[in-house]
Amino acid sequence: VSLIDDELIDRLRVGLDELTHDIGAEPPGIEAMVGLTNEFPQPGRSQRRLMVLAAAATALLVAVAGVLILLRDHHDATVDIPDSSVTTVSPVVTSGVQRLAVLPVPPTPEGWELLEWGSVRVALPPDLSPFHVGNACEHSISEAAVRVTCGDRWVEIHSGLYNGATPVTIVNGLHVLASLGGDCEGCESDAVTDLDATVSVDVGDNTLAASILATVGPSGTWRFENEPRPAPPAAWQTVSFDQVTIRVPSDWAVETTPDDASSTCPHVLRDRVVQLDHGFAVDCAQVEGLRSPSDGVRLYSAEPPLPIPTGRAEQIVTTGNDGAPTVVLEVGFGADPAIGLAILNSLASQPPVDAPTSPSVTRTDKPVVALGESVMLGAAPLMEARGIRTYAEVSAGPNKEMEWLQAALQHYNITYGVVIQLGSNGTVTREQYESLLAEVPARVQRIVMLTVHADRPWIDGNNAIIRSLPATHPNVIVLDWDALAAGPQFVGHLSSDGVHLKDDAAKTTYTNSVLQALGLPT
Amino acid sequence: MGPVMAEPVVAGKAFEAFYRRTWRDAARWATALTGDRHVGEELAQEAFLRVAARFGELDSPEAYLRTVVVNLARSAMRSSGRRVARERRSAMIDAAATHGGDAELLASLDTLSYEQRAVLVLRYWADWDEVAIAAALGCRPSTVRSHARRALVLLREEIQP
Repeated sequence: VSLIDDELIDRLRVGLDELTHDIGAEPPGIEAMVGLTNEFPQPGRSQRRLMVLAAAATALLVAVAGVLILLRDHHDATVDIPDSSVTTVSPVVTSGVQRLAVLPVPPTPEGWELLEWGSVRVALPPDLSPFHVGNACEHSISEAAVRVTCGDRWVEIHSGLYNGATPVTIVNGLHVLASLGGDCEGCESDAVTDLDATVSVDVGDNTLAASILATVGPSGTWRFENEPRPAPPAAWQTVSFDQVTIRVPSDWAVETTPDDASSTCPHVLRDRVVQLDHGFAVDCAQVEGLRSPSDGVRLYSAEPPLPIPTGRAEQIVTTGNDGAPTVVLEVGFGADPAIGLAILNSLASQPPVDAPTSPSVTRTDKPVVALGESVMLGAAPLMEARGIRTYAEVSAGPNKEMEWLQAALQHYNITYGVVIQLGSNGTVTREQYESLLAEVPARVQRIVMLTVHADRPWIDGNNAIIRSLPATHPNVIVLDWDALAAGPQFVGHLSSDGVHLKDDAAKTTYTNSVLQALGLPT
Repeated sequence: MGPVMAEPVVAGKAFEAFYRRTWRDAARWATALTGDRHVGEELAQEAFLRVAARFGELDSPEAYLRTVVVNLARSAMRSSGRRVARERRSAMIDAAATHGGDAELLASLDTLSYEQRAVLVLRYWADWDEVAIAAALGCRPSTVRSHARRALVLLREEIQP
């Protein structure tokens, strides 16, 4: 500090002394000030921390509510919810939850609106959207979920916090749970499992629920818990584990791993295999000979918290109504997701040994059932997502489609329509076509018959019979697939054989054409 | 009288002693930091109210009082705006003139940032050490030293003809 600064500082001291000269030594309001500490008990450190946390939580809730209100007010359309169209469905033994990660997400129906929570985006129809003013929908926010309630129907989206003790609760009735795996931000408790997002839908209508769930990326196919399993291919082998039975191709290697909690054998991440970090252990000796799920299936029991699926494989979780063990099924898709889908569809849940057996099969309402060949197989995931129960297989013939129709009639009350495509793989007689039509119950309003399209000698003859059917069967509508496939809109969208659906656009157009023929919205 | 009432009374006695002992210092600090005696005394009252709310759990009520005074004065200076600053400078010049103080120098303090002003006032007039100033301002001691150097340079430039 220089001499000049010393002089400055001296002047500063003098000036400030003079400025504060008149401040008295006796503090003002001494009695009132001291009284404060007598009258009010002061909160401790922990109490203050709680107060700060409560204030922060309140501010956060207010902010989230404000954002939702802003989003709601951004939309000014008014939609009235019609009277409840809830269909009562008889409870059945639970089956499971499935998601095929390799399938594309179907397009979101026009006019639907996105509801976002955490990392999940779900599109909802206007009458189930909280953004429309004037309908009966209310939304509520809890710590880890947003729930939209519209009368008896609801949609709930969880941000990903799941109590490890109750990882997935599967219940009877119309209730669908679907989980997407992922990291969980903010998960601090050991009791919380990293399930990134969960969507629950209960809208009293499987078709609508499927449409909603189909908008959740990156999945696309779901199965309802109240939905009986379709018949698996007859030649497939049966594999049983605990309460679960599945069917797989006969040439697949199948092994089950015992639940050995004492083993410390680490689970190995292989190509296209789900990595499982915790919740179960396997016998090391058997691991040596175990083939990858990409070549087959793997079954094991698991304790919560459930493993998180990664990669291209699939996980199914099943549990019985009586607290039966949780079973995890891994399926490797290999190069063909349709095989994985067929395996998952074959999953059947067996009733407990001591459970009373029902003398009759419980059937559920199903608006539309479709029967088809390899062409329809390509569009099957999309059709399923639109609520059409679809049976399709490569080289399917009249006997196979009759078998499927009879199985479907055992499982479902077909309430609206049947879709049939038959005749691509060989000559089909009029009697065979009419036998199929005769099996369809009279209550079914529409039977959509698709013509067939291929450069084969029997195509024209089969199509002539198909086109003539409405003359004798008034509930039959012909969808001229032969003409559609030859038209300009499918140029470049069929495989090199000119028969099969090549890309997503072709599959979507095929599905929409079926829906239009049924008189349903696309 | 039961044990529930005994503790507040003890706390009240201790606070009263603390209040009597430190009041004048707090009022002078606040006055020097803001340049206005009335504002300074109000800020000192406010500071003691805040100390009273936590008095029973403070390890060093003096340190807490220093921090509260410095922060309240900063808030007062920021919220006062240019109009109030001019009024404060005028009042300060009047007060200095009344008591024979250095009106020009005190008015020049208003050209400094709050941190620079606080460092000059607290270090060279109130005799706080660098650690105490840094704690109250929420900065490092080295920052206090740099504020002091810069403030003296600016002050020299301001008062030189």
